[in-house]
Amino acid sequence: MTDARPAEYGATERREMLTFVGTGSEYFRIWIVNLLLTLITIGLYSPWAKVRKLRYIYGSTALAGGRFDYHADPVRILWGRLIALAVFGAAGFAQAVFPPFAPLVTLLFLLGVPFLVVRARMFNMRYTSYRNVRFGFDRAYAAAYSAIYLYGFLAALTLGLLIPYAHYRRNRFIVDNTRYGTLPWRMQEGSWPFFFAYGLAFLVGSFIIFPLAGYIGLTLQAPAGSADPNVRMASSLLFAAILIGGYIASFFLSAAVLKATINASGVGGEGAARPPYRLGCDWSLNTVLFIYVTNAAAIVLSAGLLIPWAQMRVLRYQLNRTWVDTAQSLETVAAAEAEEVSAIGEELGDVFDVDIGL
Amino acid sequence: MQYPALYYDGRSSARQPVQVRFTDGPVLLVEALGSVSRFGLDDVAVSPRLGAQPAIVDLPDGGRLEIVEAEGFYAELAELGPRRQWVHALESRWSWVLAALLISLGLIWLLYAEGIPAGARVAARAIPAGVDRAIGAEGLELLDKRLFAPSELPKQRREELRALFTDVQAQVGAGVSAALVFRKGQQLGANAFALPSGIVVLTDELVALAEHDSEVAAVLAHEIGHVRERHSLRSLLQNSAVAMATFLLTGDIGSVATIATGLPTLLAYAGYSREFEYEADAVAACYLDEAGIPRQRFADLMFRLEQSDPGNSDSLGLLRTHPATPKRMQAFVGVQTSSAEWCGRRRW
Repeated sequence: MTDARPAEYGATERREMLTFVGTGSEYFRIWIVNLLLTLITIGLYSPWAKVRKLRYIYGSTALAGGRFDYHADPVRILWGRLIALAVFGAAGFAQAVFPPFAPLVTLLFLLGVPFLVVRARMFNMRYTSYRNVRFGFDRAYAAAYSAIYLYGFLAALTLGLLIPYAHYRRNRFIVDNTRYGTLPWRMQEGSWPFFFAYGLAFLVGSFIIFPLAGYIGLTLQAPAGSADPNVRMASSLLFAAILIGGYIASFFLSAAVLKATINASGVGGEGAARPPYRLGCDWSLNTVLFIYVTNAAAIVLSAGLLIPWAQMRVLRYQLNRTWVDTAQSLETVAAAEAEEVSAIGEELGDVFDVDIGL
Repeated sequence: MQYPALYYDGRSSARQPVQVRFTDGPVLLVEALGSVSRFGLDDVAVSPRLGAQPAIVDLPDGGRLEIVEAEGFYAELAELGPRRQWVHALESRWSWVLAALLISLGLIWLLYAEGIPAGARVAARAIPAGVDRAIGAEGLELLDKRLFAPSELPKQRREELRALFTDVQAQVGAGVSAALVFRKGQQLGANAFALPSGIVVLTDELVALAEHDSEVAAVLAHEIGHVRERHSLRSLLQNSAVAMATFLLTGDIGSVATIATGLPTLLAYAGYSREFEYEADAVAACYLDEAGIPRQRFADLMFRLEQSDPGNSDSLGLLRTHPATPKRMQAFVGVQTSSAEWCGRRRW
């Protein structure tokens, strides 16, 4: 009595939509209780809070009647977190107390970034499942170094012109090393959508920064270089305009890049063949931008209380407009052998804010 | 009671509808088409109840059950043994959530306003004084390169001020290693500050602004106070603790909320900085009382300082590193030196 259908040749293509059913009201309560328990245990509860939060988000996401789930063991995360905090504290203290060592600490850190990225991905994928089949991430350390530093170096050499290409290589590295069960993920070749995304984000940023800067310049016509407090005020306002413009442009960019990545990704198959499962999304970047900006405003005005609501709002919009196109059944994916992964890499990545998800 | 469920074997993504029920033992009975499996309740892992989500049961063979009708299932499970779902119980009542929110806000305030400063004081006591000097050992060189010019004070005037500094130090911070240097402040204007290494910088402009030497003495007492109370080290410790606490509390909120966590962090840093100014002022008040100088001298200089540089008094409000002068001087005049808290030497 399974609803499996054989993956016949020529079977009709269908579109399976992702659905997200998490609500702000439910998540808010989980979030507050997490906060309280973390506080009264001086932080020791925080791994349990993290697992509960992610289980809520993953469990609220469904595809073709199956749910996602998060399986990480909070005790492992706790150990990872303690070690990460000790390293973080030691590094910070070393930098403050022995300034000559600061460059050394920074260098060590930079050398460690790609390694941490791989470990964090391995951990997160290993403990994520869909229909009780785990995701996975390859131990692609060498690829991580080239994806992050080689192409980053290339981008720097071309004075930033190739940043979109470097970003494309980075995301391809992430996608191409991800697995679902025994099926590899694959990202289509072609970096132009990334150039397009960067171009749009640049325009969005310019539309905000230049008119603001012009307005500030016009209203405060003071001679440059004077110590007039009005000029100081104007320069700090200008700084704020650039900051806000940059912030909004970066929101826009991350959504545009994520969209390009999803639309180029597929699961299964080999080589140049079309993958049997293809991911897609059609969210409107204007709407995403509107959601991000109003979320930021809501969070600031509510002193952070609306964070859970804002998070659910973004997920609801983006996930409900994401899908998998396939002519095959989602029932036939075999699980892969999987070993346990320690949480140290993931937590170090979190503490040092090494966030290069998609 | 029978619960319809979905069974995933963990070896593939296939699923199978099954029926689940409890029987004596206590045992979980899973009935599929043509087969029945029995699992002891102690061998299965039932995931904690979470919102309105289905109950997840992990079976010992790697399979898992998804029971959509979670409410009845959890209720029946609870009758079979003491499995308290108290986190879920907290989450399901708005009144408790509201209470949790209020308690959390109180605890956060307590943590940032009292806990972290107290912890830093304890930690500072355990850290040898050499460490203070190591923090920013290159501080003065850097400032000389970027800000200062050599002092233009006549040699004799410098000697007088050095003697004054020695007097103040003997009274306020005997045993504290501090040294006085003179610089021309240039765009920094009239100012004085203590570097972590114990070097107190006095600008020519401040010396010019002072109408009595006792005003300069009060400023020197304030700066030696910073050194004596180890404010650089404590500020380093406190700010690191804030960063760590913020990480643990907000952890992986994501980019949407960077503003929401960034601003409170800045507020905390600025709050600690103002607290240290009040402490150093109290040390200055002590010095003035003991030396028989009216406290008004320090206040006079501070108000004159503010008038000389109106840019300093712009309304950053809660983000200021120094308290607003009128409020600060009100507190300064009110310092109770009889309690001698700030007059005793703190030699950590």
